[in-house]
Amino acid sequence: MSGATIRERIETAVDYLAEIDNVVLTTFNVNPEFVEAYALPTVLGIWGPTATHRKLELHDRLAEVPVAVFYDPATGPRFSGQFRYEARPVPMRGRHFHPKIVAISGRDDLERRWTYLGVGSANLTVDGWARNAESYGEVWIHTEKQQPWGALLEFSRWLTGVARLGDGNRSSDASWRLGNWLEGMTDLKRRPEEPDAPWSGRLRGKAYFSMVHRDGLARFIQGRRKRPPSQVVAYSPYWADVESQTRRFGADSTVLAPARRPDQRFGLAQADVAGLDAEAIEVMRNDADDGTRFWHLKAYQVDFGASAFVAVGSCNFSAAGLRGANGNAEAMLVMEDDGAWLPSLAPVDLVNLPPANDEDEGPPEPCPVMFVLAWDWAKHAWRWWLDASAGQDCFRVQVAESLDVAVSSGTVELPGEPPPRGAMFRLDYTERGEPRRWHGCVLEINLEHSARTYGRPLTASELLESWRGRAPTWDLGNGEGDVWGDGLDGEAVEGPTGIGTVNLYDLYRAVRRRSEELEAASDKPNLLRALLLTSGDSVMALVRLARAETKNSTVAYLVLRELLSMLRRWRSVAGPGVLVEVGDATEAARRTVLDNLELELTGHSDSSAQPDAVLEWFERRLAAASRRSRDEAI
Amino acid sequence: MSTSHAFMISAEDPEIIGSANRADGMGTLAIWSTRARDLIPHLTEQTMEPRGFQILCEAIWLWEQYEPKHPEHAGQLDRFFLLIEQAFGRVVFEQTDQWVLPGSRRVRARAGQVPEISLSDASLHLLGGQKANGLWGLYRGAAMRGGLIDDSTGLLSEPTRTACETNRFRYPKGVRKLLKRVASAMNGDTVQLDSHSSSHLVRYLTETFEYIPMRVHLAEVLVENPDLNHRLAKELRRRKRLSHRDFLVQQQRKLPVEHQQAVENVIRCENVLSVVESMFEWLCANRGLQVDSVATKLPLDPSRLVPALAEFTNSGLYGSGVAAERFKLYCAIETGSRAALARSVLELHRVISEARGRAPWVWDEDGIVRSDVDLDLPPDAAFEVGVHWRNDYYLRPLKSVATLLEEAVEP
Repeated sequence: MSGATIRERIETAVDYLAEIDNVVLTTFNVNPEFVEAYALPTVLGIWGPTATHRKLELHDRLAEVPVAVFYDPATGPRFSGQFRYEARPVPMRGRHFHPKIVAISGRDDLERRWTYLGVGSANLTVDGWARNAESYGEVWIHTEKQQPWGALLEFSRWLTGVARLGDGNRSSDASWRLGNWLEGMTDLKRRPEEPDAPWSGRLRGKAYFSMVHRDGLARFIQGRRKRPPSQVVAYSPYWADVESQTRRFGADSTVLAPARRPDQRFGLAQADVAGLDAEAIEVMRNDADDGTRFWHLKAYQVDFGASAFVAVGSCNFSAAGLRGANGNAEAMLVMEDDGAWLPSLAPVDLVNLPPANDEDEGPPEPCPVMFVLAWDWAKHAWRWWLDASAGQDCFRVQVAESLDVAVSSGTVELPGEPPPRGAMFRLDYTERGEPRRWHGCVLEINLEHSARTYGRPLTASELLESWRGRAPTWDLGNGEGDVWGDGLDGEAVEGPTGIGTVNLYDLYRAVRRRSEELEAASDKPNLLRALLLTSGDSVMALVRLARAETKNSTVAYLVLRELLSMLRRWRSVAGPGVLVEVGDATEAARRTVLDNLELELTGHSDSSAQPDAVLEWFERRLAAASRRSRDEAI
Repeated sequence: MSTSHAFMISAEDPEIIGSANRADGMGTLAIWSTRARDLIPHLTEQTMEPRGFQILCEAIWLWEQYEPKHPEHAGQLDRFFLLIEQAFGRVVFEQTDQWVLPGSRRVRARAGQVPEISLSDASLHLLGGQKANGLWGLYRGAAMRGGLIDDSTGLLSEPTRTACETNRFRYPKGVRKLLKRVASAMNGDTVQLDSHSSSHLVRYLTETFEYIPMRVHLAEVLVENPDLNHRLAKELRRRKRLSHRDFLVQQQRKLPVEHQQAVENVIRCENVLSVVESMFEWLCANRGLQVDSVATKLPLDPSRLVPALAEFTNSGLYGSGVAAERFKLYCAIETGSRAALARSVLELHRVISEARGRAPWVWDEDGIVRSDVDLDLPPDAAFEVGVHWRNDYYLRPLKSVATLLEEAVEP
């Protein structure tokens, strides 16, 4: 079996896909630095010998592939805003958002649509992916006939709508794209047979999502069977409501396998099992759990006699974990499996369990307010959604230097100025008259229209060199070093960015090459969007440099003029907002050129030339030269 | 770890844990390098050889001759540079049996063979990642900070161009020949260079390397300016061995009053960083033990750290980037008790590791010290506040560059 780490399993899957369309990750808690350094490069198939290489490549890939990370805001992460992906909080009233899935959609070499679905117990943290012993299962979705197809489709729709932000344009929303991707799959009954493909043997699992399969995990596994399971073996790091959850499975016998804590105590306490039927319920220890790693895995081995199933994923053995729609948002993968791969168990004397669990060992309190604040790059507006609980009132949200406004329940759009990178909001409100405060991350949406630079800003000449297909000068080769600094924390050195020094010959050659590249990518919408809008060397990146040029207004105008015509050719991808923005900038640059011409012509008393006429003459000559050189090239 | 066909229990991932590539666990580099820039504004830990700057400038000067005649290679200075660096390395080693700059292992491996240069044949590159790990990656930042290279164009600054044109060995035939060979290599060929010592190409490369014709200009930029850098360099040149604390304490007394604060700030900074790093290593070495019980044996009385921390908070400005963030974290170290101090160091390391997206080397798990690195206990002397010293503050590169420039003479 290939891949013993989560990273390796995902790498194997991603290797198989020739093209990735979208990636959706869900987690309870999240370490954004880990996500950016490891998780995103893994799910996007990025390999590089150094962190710097991976970072550069990651910026390029994120320009093409929409990625969303859904997390529970109660865990209080802080995102850097340095990378182009959506970090979407999912507040849940009195509960947690707890599923840990990896959904990667793309096409294989034969142009077939696939969605790889990994379901496990690992959060998007270093501990989750690298240190703990976690359960992980995978299924490949290829046709509508597979159960995970419908389950994941419904879950993706739930994710898309959970925060009702009223954002219309969704082309860069990964969860929306995931739903669309699934809807575009075939309804073939027969599945292809390719024994060496990574999906071989991974087509038959069933996906459980508590928000979709509302009656809970036990019912889901039970299905239409009339007889209850003969035995359930539950591996879980956290335990609560043990008696009621044991009843939920209704097995003839139940084995509870708690994990050890770092102090070697079991995570299941005597108080949890007090009063249970000792004949039907047994506590056993995991032989492999010697205390060196945290066994964070959640796995359920359910035996029906003639058939046996294993479920892996996020459900802890607790009411919140197992009771379905009224509990946490959870995800599991269930397959017919004898569980031989699960660690063997040995009896444990109940006196070896701690008397009771420490109160502070539980999860954080659920998010106290149903509030999501977003900055919409397409509309250049704030959006928020608030669903106040009974007794909550007087809401006011603040974002440093950007927003300070009273809010009430519902969905609101408010034009404004963009927040700083990685901005946090502060929400003040009252609850039954008592002042309360909540902090959260500002979600940024419609990132394809973001005006931020992701990664090192390229100079105009680097950008044009890249358009001309040159080996980019910012390529770092295959080295181990970091050319931007002196070490791990070295400072970045930024080069010149101005467009004023651009050689016009280079400009037109580069524009032609980029136009050809765009034509060649006409059937690849992700690539087109990257080339036009989102990559570090996109057309819009050059537009921003040209707009910032103050010294050489003529070059700025000529550049903008070319870029506007390029964007018009691809208006369906660029969108009307971009065309208006670049059109206005071009017109403003033209006016500046005319003003400058007028000043210069005024200095020549013998000149009767009009600025308008001079510029028009120049533009005609330019167009003729451009046509000639294109013909020559042909 | 166990697996079925579609299920598995995950194995540990050493690549993510980062056990294969660990350095600067307490994130001190960002802090001390900020302070070091007050003393030595241009050099870095790797820039120990003035010949690195000479070759860098020489290569850019050659590029300025080459590019106008080769528009097909316009904008490819970095690729051109790799070839010039290979030419210097191979030819100089062939003539002198030594190569003191990056890439010596690969240069030595081809000893006795006709010198060759190539972009397309990776086995002829001086290093696995020649661009990042060679002179381009290691010396260019310092050269830009010093003003040898104009940071807006990436080419030679005007004074450096003048110095380069004025102070050079005149081998026009050698230069022409070199550029012709490099042009072939730029097109993807593997090219042989001359190896006989009378060749103008060989003499040009070898003498340029050996005698550093721009040494006066390099000294002016890297050693003699600014004033504090110059004074420190002068003193460093005189010393056979360098004891950082003794040196800086002595200099602080001798230097004019306007420079004393910069030196004082470095000492204040190091008084905290050095012992905190020792504590970190000590915690790693005490893995498996209870934090509270092991903390009682910590060979540092927290009260000794209190005045040092107070001075550290007044050790100068740290800007607004990583250095400033780290500085704030260090200022918040708890000194209430040995246990509080130990926990505080663990927390500091956790925050820094998290910011890097890396697993910590040592952590507190339910009151027990966990670590996955093997470190020896540091000696007790490493906990003496105001005595122990760890970090270089770029004094060694300055001593090396200043001494070697002084030693370089006319042929």
